[in-house]
Amino acid sequence: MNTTATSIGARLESVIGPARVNASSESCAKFAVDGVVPSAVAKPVSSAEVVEVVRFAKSEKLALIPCGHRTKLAIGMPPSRYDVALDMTALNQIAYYDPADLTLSVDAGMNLAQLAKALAQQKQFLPLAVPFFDDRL
Amino acid sequence: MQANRDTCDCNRDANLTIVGMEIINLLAEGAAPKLLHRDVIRGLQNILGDSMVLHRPEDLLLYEYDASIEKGRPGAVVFPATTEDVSRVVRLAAQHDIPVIGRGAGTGLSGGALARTGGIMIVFARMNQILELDLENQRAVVHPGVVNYELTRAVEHAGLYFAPDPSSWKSCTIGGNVAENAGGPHTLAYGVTSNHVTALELVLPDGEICRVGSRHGDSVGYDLAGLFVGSEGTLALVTEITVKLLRKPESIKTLLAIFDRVDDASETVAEITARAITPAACEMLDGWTLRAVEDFIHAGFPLDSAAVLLIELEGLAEVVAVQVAAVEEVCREHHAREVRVARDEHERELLWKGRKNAFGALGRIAPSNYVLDGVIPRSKIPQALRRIQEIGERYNFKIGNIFHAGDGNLHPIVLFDPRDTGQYQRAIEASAEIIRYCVEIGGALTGEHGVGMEKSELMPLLFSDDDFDLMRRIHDAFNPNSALNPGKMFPLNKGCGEITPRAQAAVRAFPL
Repeated sequence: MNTTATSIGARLESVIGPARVNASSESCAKFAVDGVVPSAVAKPVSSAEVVEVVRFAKSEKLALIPCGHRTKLAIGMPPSRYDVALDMTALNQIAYYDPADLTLSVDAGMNLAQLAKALAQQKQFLPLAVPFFDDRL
Repeated sequence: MQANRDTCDCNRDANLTIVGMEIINLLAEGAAPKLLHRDVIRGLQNILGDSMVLHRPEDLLLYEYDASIEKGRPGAVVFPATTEDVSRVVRLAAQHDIPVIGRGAGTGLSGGALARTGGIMIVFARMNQILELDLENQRAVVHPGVVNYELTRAVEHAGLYFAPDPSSWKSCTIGGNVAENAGGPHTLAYGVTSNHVTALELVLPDGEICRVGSRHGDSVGYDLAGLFVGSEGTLALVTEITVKLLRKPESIKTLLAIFDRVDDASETVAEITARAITPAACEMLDGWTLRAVEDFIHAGFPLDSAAVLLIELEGLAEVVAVQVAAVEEVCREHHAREVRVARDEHERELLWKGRKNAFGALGRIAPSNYVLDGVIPRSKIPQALRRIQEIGERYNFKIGNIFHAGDGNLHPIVLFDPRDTGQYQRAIEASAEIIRYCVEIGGALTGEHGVGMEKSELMPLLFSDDDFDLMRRIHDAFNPNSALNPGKMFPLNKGCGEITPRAQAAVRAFPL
C-alpha cells in the first residue's frame, strides 16, 4: 500500500472516526470495480456522516463510488477514477412506515429481501422486480 | 392608463359597444395588461398570420382566467400550429426579452397557465392532433392540445385507455396534464401523469427544439422526461408527448356506500387499505356537497346522508367479485346505511357524472368557489375533516368536501362571493390555514393541482432554503432568465407562508 492511500484513509478517519474507515488492501480489494481498487472504504452510520464524507471528497477532489451490497458493482464501465468507496450498508433501517397509509421511507442501504419481509407482515409489497433479489453479503 | 404611442392598443373608435367601454374602464382602473410593442405584435403576425395573434384588450380579457381564483393578463395570445411555429415565437420573445406562457384549455386550478407578469401566451388549441397510435405497443404520440378524453375515445375500440382522468378530462389538454402533473380519481391505482409519459418534444427558452425520454422502457441516464412532467411550464414548452395506454380491465364494479356519519365513511377508507385492498378509485362526498350535486345531476345520491363513498374495483372478474364482497363487508361494519353496486355502465356513468361535475354544480349556489388541493396521510382523514369544518365555522364560510379519499388528496371547496373584497381575502386566509394544517400533520400542499400562482408563497411551509436552492439551480439550467412562465412555483416574497395581498388587483378587475 502506498503512502497516498494510507493518508486518504487517515484523513478520512479524522473526519468520521477510525471505526468508520477501513483502508486495508484486503478490504479495499472487496470494493474493486472492474479491477479498479479504491484507497479507502468509508462506512458512515448516519446521513450526517455521509455529508461529512462527501464534503471531504469534494474538498480533496477525490472520486467517490457509493455502493450497497455490491451485488452488481461490475455492471457498467470501469471507473476512470476511484479513491473512496462509500459503503452505505450501515444505513439500513426503515425510517418511516405507516401501513395504513401505504407509505414507507427506508435508508439507502436497506436490503431488499429484509424489506420484503417487513412488508409481508402487513400483506404489502414493493412492486420492484429487482434481479438477484436475495443477494447480499 | 395612458396608452403609449408606440404600443398596440385597442381601436378606440366610435363603434365601441357598451361592453367594450366597460372593458376600457376596467383597464383604466389599473388592471391593464402590459402592452406589447407594435413591432412585437407585427413580428408575431409575420410568423403566424394576423388571425392567429390576439392583442386587443377585449380579446385578451378571456385569457386572464383559468379555473382558479387568480388572474393575470397576457399582452398577446398566439395560436401556433407546429413545433417550428412555437420555436419561432419563443425566439422572437427572447429577442425582445418578453416572457412566454404556455396554455392548454385553461382548466387549471392553481393559476399555472396565467400570465402573472404579462407576456406572450402560447395557446396550444391548434396543436390538437393525435400524431400516432401504436396500439400493439400501447403507446400514443400526441400534440399538447389534444383533449384528455379524446385520446381515450380514439383508442377504446381496441380495449385501451389513457389513465390520468382529472375531473376536467372532457376539456383539459394532455399538454396541461403534463405541465401540472395532473391526477384524477384513478390516480390511486395508476399514478399521476408522470407515470404515463415516456417521452417529450420540447422547445427551450432560446427556441431550441429537443427531445427527452424514450418511447419504450426507461430512458438511459437522467430521467429528463420525469423532470419536465410537473415543471409547470417553467423549464420548457412541451410540443409533443408520448404516453402509455393501458388495457381496460376485464371487470369494473362501482359501489356507492351511504353513511350517516362522516367519521364512519373516513374510517371505512382506512380499513379498506388496512385489509390490503387497493381500489382503482375511492372518492368521498360529504352530505352538504352531495345534496348540491344531486339537485343538479340527479345521480341518485341520497339527500339525507352525511357522506357517501364512491368506490371502484377493477381487474380480473374473479378477483373483483371477492373484493366487492370484502369492501361491502367493511362498509357495513362501519355502519353504512346502504351499499349500492352499479348494475350497468349507465348507472356507473351516472355515479361518476355526479362526482366529476360536482364543482360545476356548486357554481349554482354561490358566485364563486375556491377548490383547494391538499394531501394528508390517509389514516388522518377523520381528524382533518373535523379541522376543516372548524376552520370554516371560524371564518364563517361553508366549506364542502369532495375528494380522493383513497390517497388522502383533499379538495375542500370554499364558497364565497368575490365581489366582496373582505370575503375574498378571508377565503384565501381560510384556505391557507387548511393547507398549513395538511402540511403540519405530515401531508403536502398540493396533490395534483400544482403550485402555480396560488401556492408559490406557501412553498416555504414544505421546503427549506436548501431545497429552493436546488430547485433554482434546476430552473436556471433550462430557464436562466425566467423567460418561461415567470412568477410560478417559487415564492416571490421571503417569508414563511405569508399570504400576500396579491388578490387585490384581481378583485378590482372583477366585473360587478
